[in-house]
Amino acid sequence: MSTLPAHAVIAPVLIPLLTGILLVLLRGSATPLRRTISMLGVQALLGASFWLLLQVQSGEVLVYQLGNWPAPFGIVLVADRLAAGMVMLTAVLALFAMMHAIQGSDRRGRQYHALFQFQLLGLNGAFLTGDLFNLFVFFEILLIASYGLLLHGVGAARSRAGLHYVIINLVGSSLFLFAVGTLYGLLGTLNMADLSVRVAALGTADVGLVRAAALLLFLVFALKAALAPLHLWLPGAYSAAGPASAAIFAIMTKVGAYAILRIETLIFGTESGPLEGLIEPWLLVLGLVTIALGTIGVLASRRLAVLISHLVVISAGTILTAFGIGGSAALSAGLYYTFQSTLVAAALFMLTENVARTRGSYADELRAGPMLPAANVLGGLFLVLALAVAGLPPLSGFVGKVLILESSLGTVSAPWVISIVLITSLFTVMALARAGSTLFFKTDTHAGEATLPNAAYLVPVSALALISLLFVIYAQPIYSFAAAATEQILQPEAYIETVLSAKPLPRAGDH
Amino acid sequence: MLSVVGLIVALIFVKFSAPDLALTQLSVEMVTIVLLLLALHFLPWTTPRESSLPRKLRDGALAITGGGLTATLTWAVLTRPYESISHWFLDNSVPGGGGTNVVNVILVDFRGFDTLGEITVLAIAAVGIYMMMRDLHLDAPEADQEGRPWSSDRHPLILATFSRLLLPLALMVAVFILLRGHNLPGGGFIAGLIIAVALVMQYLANGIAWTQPRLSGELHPLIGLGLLTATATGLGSLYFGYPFLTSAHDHFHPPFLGDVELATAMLFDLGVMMVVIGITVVILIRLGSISAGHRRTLLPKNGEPH
Amino acid sequence: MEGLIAAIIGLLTACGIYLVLRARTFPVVMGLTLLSYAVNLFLFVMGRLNIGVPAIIEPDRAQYADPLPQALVLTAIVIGFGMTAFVVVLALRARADLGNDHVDGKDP
Repeated sequence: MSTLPAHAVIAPVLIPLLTGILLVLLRGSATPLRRTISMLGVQALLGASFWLLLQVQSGEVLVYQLGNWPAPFGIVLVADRLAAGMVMLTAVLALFAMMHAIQGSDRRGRQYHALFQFQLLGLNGAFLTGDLFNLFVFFEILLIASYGLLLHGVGAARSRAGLHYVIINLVGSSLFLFAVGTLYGLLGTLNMADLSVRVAALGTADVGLVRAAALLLFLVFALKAALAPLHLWLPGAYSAAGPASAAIFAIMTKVGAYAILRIETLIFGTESGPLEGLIEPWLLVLGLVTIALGTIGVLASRRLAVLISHLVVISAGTILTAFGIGGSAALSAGLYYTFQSTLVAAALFMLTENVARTRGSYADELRAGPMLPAANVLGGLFLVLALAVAGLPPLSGFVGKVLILESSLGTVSAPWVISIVLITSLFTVMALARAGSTLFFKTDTHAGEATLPNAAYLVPVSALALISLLFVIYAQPIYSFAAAATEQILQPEAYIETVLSAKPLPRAGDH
Repeated sequence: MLSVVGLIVALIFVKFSAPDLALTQLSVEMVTIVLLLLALHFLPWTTPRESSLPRKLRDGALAITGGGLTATLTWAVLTRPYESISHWFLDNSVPGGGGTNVVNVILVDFRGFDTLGEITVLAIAAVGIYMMMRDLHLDAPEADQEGRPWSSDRHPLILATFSRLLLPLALMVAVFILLRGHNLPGGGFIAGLIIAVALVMQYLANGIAWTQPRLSGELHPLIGLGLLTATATGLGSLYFGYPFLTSAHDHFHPPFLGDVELATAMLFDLGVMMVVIGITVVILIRLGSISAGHRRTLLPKNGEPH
Repeated sequence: MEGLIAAIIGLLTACGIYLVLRARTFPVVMGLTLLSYAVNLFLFVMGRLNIGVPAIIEPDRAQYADPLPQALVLTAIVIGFGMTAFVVVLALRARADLGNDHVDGKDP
């Protein structure tokens, strides 16, 4: 533990924390300085995440005992393939979102960068922690940072959307604490690995109460993951947030999905007896309902940002449907889909901002506006990303959806899953085609000249579109990583064993 | 109404062996009430139009269901036999953490990472609040419903004098509470709130005009510094080859003071205290000066007691 | 005693839920505060009810209250304080931006 590599697990948490503190202290300094610090922080985070990913690649589970106290008494951070993969995804997303933000959208307030870093802190902490209450703390960090980002550059719509978002999530936090309290009151521990052991040894008298607590916990995560009918907060909040903030929000629903997956496989996995498979059927049904409702939202949207927010809802529904199907093939497909859909959604939010700026007062409203100067470039990017998000060949969304559909074959739910996913994909394509043609090719003769976008604006979006292509070309290695991560979480024994048997370092000054 | 409920909750904590919680609950209560009163000042006077009857019935039914479920859950869990990991904390608090107040040792040592997260939440909240309050213009009523102007009288002399005397006293109490937190009820959070309340008292008693030049309202850096102190304390252990936030404690024998036990966890607690002072003062004073800002134009120099 | 505590928590929750469902921001904030009282109390009593045995190590005492839930509640109180402050200011901000104090931003 005394060597540097051992600290790889905490690095993705410490780097944004320190960068954020530095930015709070330097709040009066010039914009270029703050941008540089923030960008350096994100780059360091990317390096650290990659480092962590390399270390867990072999299938090893890394445990980091904070304060040198052993689990289950102290708090531990645990990195397995899934956690490291999500941290890596966050870092990649953060890099592009930051590249986008420093082109001007961070000017709306002095605190943008500090809040951005704290948001990353919350995300990474939530992915890495191995303690249920600590998960609550990191949820709060990422939520309060997101409230701040949401209200960035305050306006009437943002205040309203923000008020809803904050109140809903505060109620969610209360429910989370009720669930954590009940689990502690019955099982006497907070460490997730230890909880798993105790759930497996649960007496029949307590099964009902533990089930109630588990359902409460999943309710909270479903709220974060925007699962129907708890998805209603999302479109308002994301579309009002301003695209630069929404780009980083693209991963927030994934935190909910991640938490569901983690708790479901670790605590209520195959060993948990009567509690096994507690929520899969619910996930499947609600996931499909979410997809359907999201599609209706897409069809009804009158602004591009709202449309994309509904696409985020659809992708959350798709992921949770995959988790609901269950089994290693579906989970792997769901993970692959998670990785690609997060990046594509972020790219679409950024593109929205580019388009809105170019169109001036017409913003991102879906009506004919001024002629766009670089319509081919913007439209081309939109086309690529729209194909990717709708799941048409040859882009990454297609691969993801096919994998999910394939995994559903042979289950009872297959006809439902296949028909709903295909029909909604069709409608999504229609809506996107309509939006694209309105935005890029219909011109209102009364509208003035649109101003040419700065070419540098398009770099992060283009890069993300390129990554979407890479997800197709390298589909095989990425999918095998997802499969390896799935295999690891479906057999949690190694995880539990590593967490509970790790010994703290001997202390020099022990009395 | 709310403060009464808060008080009852605090009394329940005392009754069931949680002095730390009671102290914290009380001090948080105080600050929250001041905050809510300040906020209420800006909200409309008129009695809210009553919601329609069906809606009230629906909400009432939801509320009763929710309350009933929670009560059942509480009762069901409380009547179950129980065995937890807490014996380990009781056994290890003195040898491992160097303090007899187990709750505080858990907060700053065993589960110090949670506490670091918690003050990060506070700091982010302060940043967000600060952001929202820039260019916030609210029309505070200048007179109450019967047309009497607000706070046109001078600040009471006795209160003004006493509050100034009180400040050093409060600081002393705070330091005492901070230091004893490791062994007896107390700790950084409560100490921070006491100092913050004492500072806010200066504003209440002497008025913005008197206090502003003497005490810079810009305690913002304190938040960052406090967070930095706490994090740096944690980082220190990396240098010695231990995981983040590993604590150390030892006995020292400085002249005149006798045996003093110091733990790095106290430094961590100091960071907590700084963040708490920072956020409380920033919020309350900012909110207070919004109203004072335009009242000063109305009643020039009236805030000066001398 | 267990029944009484359960009833108090249930009552606090019920009042909290009712107030959160109101249309104006101030009752909603009050509701959230009540809800957080309920949660804190709930979390606290999960360590079971112990009278007169605070978790401060003394020689010659065998029984102590469970310190862990107390530490968790302290963390929850502080986080709740930050959140309450944020919501209050947000409500003021919304009042300034929207010109009224309705959660939905419009008069019914």
